[in-house]
Amino acid sequence: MSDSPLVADRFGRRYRRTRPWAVRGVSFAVPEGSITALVGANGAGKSTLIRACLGFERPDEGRLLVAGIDPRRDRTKAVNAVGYVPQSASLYRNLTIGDHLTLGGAARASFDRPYALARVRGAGLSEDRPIGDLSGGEQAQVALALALGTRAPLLLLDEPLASLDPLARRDFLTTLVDDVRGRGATALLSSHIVTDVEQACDRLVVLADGRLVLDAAVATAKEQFRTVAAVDVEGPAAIGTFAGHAGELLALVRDTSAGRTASLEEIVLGHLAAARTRSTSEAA
Amino acid sequence: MFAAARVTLKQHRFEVGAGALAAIILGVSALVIEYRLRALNVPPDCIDNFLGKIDGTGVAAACTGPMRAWAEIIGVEGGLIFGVMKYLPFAIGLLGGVPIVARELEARTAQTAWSLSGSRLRWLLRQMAPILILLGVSVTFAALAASVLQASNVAWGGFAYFDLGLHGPLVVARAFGAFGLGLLIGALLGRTLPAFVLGGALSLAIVFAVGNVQDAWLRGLDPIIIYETSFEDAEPIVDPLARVVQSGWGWRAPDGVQLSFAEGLARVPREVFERDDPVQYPESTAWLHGQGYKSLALGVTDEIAMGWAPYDALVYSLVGAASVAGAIVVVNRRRPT
Repeated sequence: MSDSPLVADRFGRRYRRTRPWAVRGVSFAVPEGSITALVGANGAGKSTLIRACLGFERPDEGRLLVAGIDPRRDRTKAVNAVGYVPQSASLYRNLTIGDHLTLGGAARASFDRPYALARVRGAGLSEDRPIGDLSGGEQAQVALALALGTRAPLLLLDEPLASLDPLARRDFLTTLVDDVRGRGATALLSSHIVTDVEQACDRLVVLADGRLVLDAAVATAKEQFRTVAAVDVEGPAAIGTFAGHAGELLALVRDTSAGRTASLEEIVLGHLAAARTRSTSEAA
Repeated sequence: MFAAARVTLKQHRFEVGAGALAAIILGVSALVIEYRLRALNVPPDCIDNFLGKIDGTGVAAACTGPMRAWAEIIGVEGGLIFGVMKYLPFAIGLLGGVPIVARELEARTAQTAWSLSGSRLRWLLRQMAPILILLGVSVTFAALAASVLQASNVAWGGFAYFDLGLHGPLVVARAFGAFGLGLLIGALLGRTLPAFVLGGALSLAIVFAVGNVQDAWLRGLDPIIIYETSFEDAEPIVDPLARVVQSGWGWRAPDGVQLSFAEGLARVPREVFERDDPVQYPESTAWLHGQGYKSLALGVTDEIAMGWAPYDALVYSLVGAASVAGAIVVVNRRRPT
């Protein structure tokens, strides 16, 4: 587990003592060479977890290991092992794409400018274009090129797809998958758009209300879970019930021959519904 | 390295450009004024003649024209330069320092910058260096140009002490102090405009506090008596042409003993003192004069008063250095939002 590029060990973070935990008791490991989807509703703690990997947040409980390094102890080393794409493409609007690559080169000795430039050109962009003139999708491509240019063994992507149109999302994921698979890197991709990450990711980590509710390989999860009409199952057999696309009430069940194989979206929905039911009953 | 410095300057081009331009315009203006003063070709005899007759009477007729022109240029235009120089180093320092961290936090670009650069200290130094160098060179040019102008003023009998902090290295120290302060406040607030406003207010507060300390320091020096005065006469003790900076008042008792201002007032009858104006003490003064006391104007020479200059430079340099150190700590610890 400690050889994994990213390990969360009972990780917990609370922003104020009077407020509930943003994340608590989360333990999982991201296997080397994988693209892991970190999925959860808004406020589930995905960003908190990713930002803690960069030393942007300090754990209040447990710890994180990035390439075997605790960011609290040696943030510089931990950050240098990571390529990061923030939630909103946080780029300098008055600078050009080329200026960003220059900043990347000045900031990180390992920054591979020609490689990043090739990614930018591959997205149909020229380096002399100002960031302020780019669309959201193009800015996301530049942010991704910056992260890939670091040639870091671990990529952390904090909901980079949230504000992109379907075409831009596909381009983004294609670039990411090509890079990660091509050089054997590892990626943790946070998103709440499950259908998009289904094609790109081979592992799934689901957070709900700051707690880990599922950590499994995508293939395993798909083998394990099935969906049936909610009326066909009785209480404890269902992991969670949720509304299907046609408005019908479905239930996510495990290891049963009944029903049909669940999609990744349904697996996530079932677990999130179960977590919500659990927290409602705890509150009551 | 130069490419990264160019990008940093591009990021803050408005503030750095405005600051550098203001300093260069001021410096060039000071040099133009100095050139015009020299172009008057006031004969050295006229200067000696003027310095020998402080009341202006008896100055050679041939000297009055060029001297009047000289006085007008140094008084009006030179006065404008020094008036602006009172505020310019603080404005330039804040313009350079505030946006370095504040803008990154405000625009949320800090998370990109700090995720690319493992060491935030190195990131901060890389951001600061080109701005400090460019604005430092500009401010130094303006400060040296103002020094040239100030030297002409002193040659004509002006007090160096009254221009302290308005030219030369002290201007650079003040700009550095404001730069550090702006950097720190920007890093703490994470908002550019509020940091400018707070930085300006704090700079004024520091100038006020340092001014008070400076006055106290001046009063603490061993004074010389500039003149003694009673109702009837004013008796100069020191040559009026000698540059003496007045630092306070005292009293000469009828028996010849020298008293401090407070010691003299303590001898005024209580009923007179208590109904008197607590700032000017006109009735108490009149009573003392009536008793044969004389007012003493106390002061120190311009050269001795200029002994404050190293302290002034030290205070502002320390403010700058401590603030930069504080900003390093804040940048190292805070979240990039």
